Formats: sequence, C-alpha cells, structure tokens
Amino acid sequence: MLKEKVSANQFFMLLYLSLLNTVFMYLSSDSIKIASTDTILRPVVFILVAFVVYVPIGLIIKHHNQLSSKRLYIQKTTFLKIIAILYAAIYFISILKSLARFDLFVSSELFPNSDMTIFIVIITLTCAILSLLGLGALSRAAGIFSALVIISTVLVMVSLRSEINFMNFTPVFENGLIDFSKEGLLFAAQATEIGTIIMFLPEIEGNVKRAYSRWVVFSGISVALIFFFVVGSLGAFADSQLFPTYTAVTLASFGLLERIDALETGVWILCVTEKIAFYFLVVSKAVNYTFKKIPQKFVALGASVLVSVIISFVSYNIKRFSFLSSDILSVTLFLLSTVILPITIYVYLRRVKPCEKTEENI
Amino acid sequence: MKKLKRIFSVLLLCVFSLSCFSSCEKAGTELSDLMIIQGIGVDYEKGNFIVTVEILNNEQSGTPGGDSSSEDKTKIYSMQGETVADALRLLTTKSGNLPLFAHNRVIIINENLNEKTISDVLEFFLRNYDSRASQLLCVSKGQKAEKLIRAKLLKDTVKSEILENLLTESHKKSLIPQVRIIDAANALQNKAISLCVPAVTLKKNGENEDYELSGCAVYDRNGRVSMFLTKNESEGLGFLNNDVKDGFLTEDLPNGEKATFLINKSKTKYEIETKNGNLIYHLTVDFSCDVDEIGVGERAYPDKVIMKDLKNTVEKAVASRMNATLDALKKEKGGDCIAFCKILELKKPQLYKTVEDNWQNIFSNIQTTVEVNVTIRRVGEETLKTNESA
Repeated sequence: MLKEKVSANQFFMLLYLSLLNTVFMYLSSDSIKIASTDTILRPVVFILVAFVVYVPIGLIIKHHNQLSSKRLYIQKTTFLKIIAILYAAIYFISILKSLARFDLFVSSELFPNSDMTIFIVIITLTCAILSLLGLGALSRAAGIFSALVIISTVLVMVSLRSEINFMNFTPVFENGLIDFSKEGLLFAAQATEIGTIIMFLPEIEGNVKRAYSRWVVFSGISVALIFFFVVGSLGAFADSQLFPTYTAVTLASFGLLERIDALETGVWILCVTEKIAFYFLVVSKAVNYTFKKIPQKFVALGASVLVSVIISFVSYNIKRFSFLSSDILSVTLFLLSTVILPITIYVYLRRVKPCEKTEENI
Repeated sequence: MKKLKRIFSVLLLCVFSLSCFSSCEKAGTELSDLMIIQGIGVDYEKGNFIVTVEILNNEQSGTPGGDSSSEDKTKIYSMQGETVADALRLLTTKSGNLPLFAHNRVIIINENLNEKTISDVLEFFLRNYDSRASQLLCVSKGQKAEKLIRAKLLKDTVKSEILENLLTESHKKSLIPQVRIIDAANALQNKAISLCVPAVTLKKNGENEDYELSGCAVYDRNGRVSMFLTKNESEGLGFLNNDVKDGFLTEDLPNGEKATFLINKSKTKYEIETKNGNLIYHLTVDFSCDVDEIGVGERAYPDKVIMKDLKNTVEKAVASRMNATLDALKKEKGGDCIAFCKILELKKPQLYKTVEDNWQNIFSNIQTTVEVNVTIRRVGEETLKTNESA
C-alpha cells in the first residue's frame, strides 16, 4: 500500500468523481421527477445541505487540528470502535447501492442480452484490489480521471447544444416550494461521500474547509449543467427513461463520432471504479480500526466477495434492486454518515481526555 | 510476490478492458450474424401487426469491391405477430440472424392502424434497449408501410437511407417538422399536445418509384390520425414552432413575376393576452432572407421600390403560411400540434392549469395575430440600384 498523504484538493477530486457517478447513474422515480426545470435548481439545495452538514464535520476537523498542534491524540475506545464499524456498514451498503445501480445500467443499456454477473464480479474484485493501493494512489488517479471526465462531458454538452429545446422546460417551482425542497433534499441525500472526510483527516494535508467549499460549489454547478442538458434535450421523455443522463448522451454526436455514448460510457466506468475502490478503502480502514489484527487487504477482499454474492442475488430480480435504490435507505445512510455519527463523535471527543503523543505511540 | 501481483493486475486489467470495450454491441456475435436493420415499416391487419424491415446485406457489404456484386445492398423481410416486438423477434426465424435495432434510421407507420394506436407501435421502440431515441418517424399515406419499404427505387440503394435523407433535408428546408421517437413520446405524454408526423407516399417515375412528401398526419389524443395537413399547410408549422433554420420561399410579385428567397434566419416570438375570457396569441416573426431569383425584365434590378415589393411579398408569404396552418388545425379540430399549450404553460403557468384539461376545445377558439418583420439581407451578385430614378 502506498501510504503517502494527499492534498485536500486531490482528496476532493475523488469525491467529485464519486458524486458525478451518482448523477450519471441517476434514476428517475415516482418520488423524484427529472423532466422539470426544478431538477436544474436541485443542486442549490445540495449546496445548502452540504454546507449545513459540514458544521459537525468542521468542528471535528477543528478539534483534530487543535489536538495535533499540541501533539495530543484520542485513544481508541470501544465506543469509537463501534462508530467505526457503523461507518464500515454504511459504506458497505453504499457499495451495494452503487454496484446494484451500475449492474442495472450495464445489463439494461450496454449488454442487455448477456448475463453480466461475471462482469460485475470482476469489477468488484478490481475495485477491492485497487483500494489496496491506498488513498494516495486513488486520489492521484482521481486527478487524471477528473480531467478525462470533464473533457468528455463538455464534449457531450457541446454536441447536445443543438438538441436543447426550450419547450422542454417547465415553469420554475411548478409544484410548489415544498415539493422542490423535498426533491432537492432527496437529491442531496445521495452525497454520502461527505461522511468519509473525517475518516481520512490524518491523511489529508492543506485547508480542508477551503477545498470542501470549492468541491461543493463546483459539484453543484457541474450537476446543474448536466441536468440542464438532460432536461433541455429530453423533456418529458426523461421521466420514461431508466437512465435519463445516458439517454441524453445517446442523442449526442460530434462530427464523425456518431456514438459518443460509447466513449462516455467508458469514462463513466472510470467513475464507478474510483468510487467503489474508495468505498472499499473506507470499509477496510474502518474495520481495521476496530480489529487491528485483521489486515486491510483481507477486509477489502472479504468485503468484495460478500458484495459479489449479494449483488448476484440482487441482480436476479428487479424487485430486490428497488430496496437498494429506495429513498429511505439513501436518506438514512446520508443522515447517519454526515449528521448523526459526526455529532456523536464530536460530543464524545469533547468529553474524553486526550493523551500525549510519544515516540512509542505515534 | 510483487512480480506475481503485477502480472495478476495486468491480467485483471485485460479482462476488465475486454469486457468493457467490446467492439460489437452484441457481445460474442459476428456482424455477419446480425440483421442490421435500416428501416422498419409497421402495418396492422386482421388482429396482427405486420412489420417489414430493410436490412443490410452483410454478404454483399463484405465482398471486396462490393459495389460490383450482383446482389442488392439490402434485403427485405416481412413478418406478422401479435405485437410489434413479437413480429420483429419472429424475423429471426426467416433470416436466421439476430436483429440489431441500434442502426435503424426510420420507422414508417401506416396511417390506418385500425383499432391500434401509434402508442401501441412506439411502445416497443421506447422500451427496447437497442432502439435509439433519435430514429425518425413518418406515416405512409394511402399506402401500406410495407410498400414504402419495398419501393422500387433506383437499383442498389439503401431505401431507408434515402427516406431518412429526404426527411432530414426537408426538415432543414423547413418544409416539414422532424419527428423522432423522443419527439413523439414527448407529444404523446402531454395530454394537450397533438402529435404531427410527416407523411410520405410513393410516386411512379418511369419504371421506378420515388418517395414523395405528402404533408403531415396529425394524431388525436387517442393516437389515431385525425387529419392531414397539406404540403403548403405543413410549411407553416416551422414558423409556428420557431423551427425554421434554412429553406426557401417562392412567391408571386405584384408585377406578376415570380421570386425565390433563401431563408437565412427566422425567429418567432409569442405574446399571450387574455381578453374577455379569450386567449389571444400575438406571434411576431423576425425573418431574414436573401434574394435567390426574381423575374427577368425591366424591373429585374432590385431598386428601392422593388425591394419594398419584395419585402411586402415575403411578409405576406410567411403570414399566409402561418395562418393557413392555424386555420387548418382549428377548423378540422386537428389539435394543438404547435405546442401553444406549452407556450401558455411557460408564460402563464397558473392560467394554464385552469385550461389544461379542456385545451382541445379552447385551442379551436384561440385568436391569433401574426406580424412578420422581414429583412432582405442580400440580393445576389446583381447590381443594387440605390437611386429610385435608376
């Protein structure tokens, strides 16, 4: 494992890819409609929510920095070990959620006539192995991948420009502010990656607050732009499509490149790989925190086997998939990882007495 | 151990790449084993859908110097089934190959589907994974869709490609609207909008046949053809929908000569007013064109007087096309295929909610005013005389 530290910007590149993956694989559902101008404004709610949930995370970061400057640290306790296991469980379910969605995408849009179980198992194992490279390697790869994703997405946007029909938009806040806020919150709840920040604090160098603010605003703008093109080019048709973002991409062509969707799909697979590998790293790190004797690589590989088995079971029946994509699950995971657990940790950290770092325990 | 790990990583990457970037959409299937569908015609008779497909002749395409081969570029198959999907899937029993819909260019739908609707036809194409939302739609007027697919065009041509080009170029010239699956689905999902699809017929040309545009078919809310717009009436659709990009107009001048104008820009603006409970749509078209040809003779050089005549002529021509289309749609209860309801929804959402359910009736009573502002941008290479006495 490469154990180098990462800059705050590199780390947030990783989170950026993870969030973009959510948008690329975004599903329209009965509770959230895509074909509405409000969809383009939903990232505003995401930005607000992201800044609100940063409050407890920011307090933990501040506390962590204060302790570090005084060469103090918090000793592992059973309570913190339980919290770590809860984090492992949250991100294990998040892996299942993302992979199940990717499985649905691959088996519906890319290879509808083939059994994609083996493919998904290979992806899962690949991601687990990639997670062994550590945060440094994943973050640096995210820097390169982000450039690829941005270039290809801009290419798609440019070629979709002629497909934009303003008749496809709807009046703003058509169904009222309450519905808009609800849908916005449900969208924001997809960003479970925010909760990972506190797990990697010791490895992140630089101003996290500034990098986080940049990430939130840049992600919000990117998502709003993507949704603008999806709504503008598809209109009401978006709601009848399983993966509206992909359907919009299928309309794009650029000179001789008539099938940009093939190119874009390859880039999306990079996003999925980064996201799943990162989540495997989170799971293995959290489990390793509690059970120090189990090496991280065994945790990652064991988790990948378990994920493969569960995904194979879920993949067989679309009804099983609906639980993993349910709003209640997304909201629960989001609240736990970004609000409840960080607040609990902060309250706990304020109460326990820190220990002094010595040459031995560093 | 480290070396083994590297070899394992490279192998895993290879498997990963191979499975991600397979060269063919149907993994593990040779191109020659696929029916690469180019065009699909759909008819409905005696309780069965009849689909006729034009597929690429893979054997001929694969022959070196294939053009000299005696075989045709395409093959045509027909099959009937209880649903469109059923019929299309059964085609495999005739051709022995798997269908590939991803490259289909055009879907031709018979104007008369008896008890079935256009939604019944499109359902398969909306749900099918291979099928692309950008496929073009057209209606076969007065003929079976099968006949259009089996048209005797010039030898060795992909008929669907010719039809696709005809539809695309005619749209570019603002003669007809372009209707793809996605556009049809959007219109059918909106209970106030009527779907309008270009109609095509076959015309004899010596021993061969040619495709010919025959206006547009307007579908009612039940998904059945309620009326046809004529060729001239269809030309107004582009102006009403703010969808004119290119094209030309040929009109009579006051002196009896004829003139042709090349369109280079057109933008339609909409204002909605309510007066005594009635909706009034004020349409303003900002139109720019070049003179392509004017009648020869004494007044062939476009002086100021002629320029004014030309401007008036174009103004009248555009307005008359728009009014003709509006009148036809209102009189024949053809319905709102120009998305007036959508404009109302965007401009006055509260008002729209109150009239949404009764829109078909309201549409017939909408009053409209049309104002056309014409700019003659260029007059060609002939001398422009600025002096009136010239």
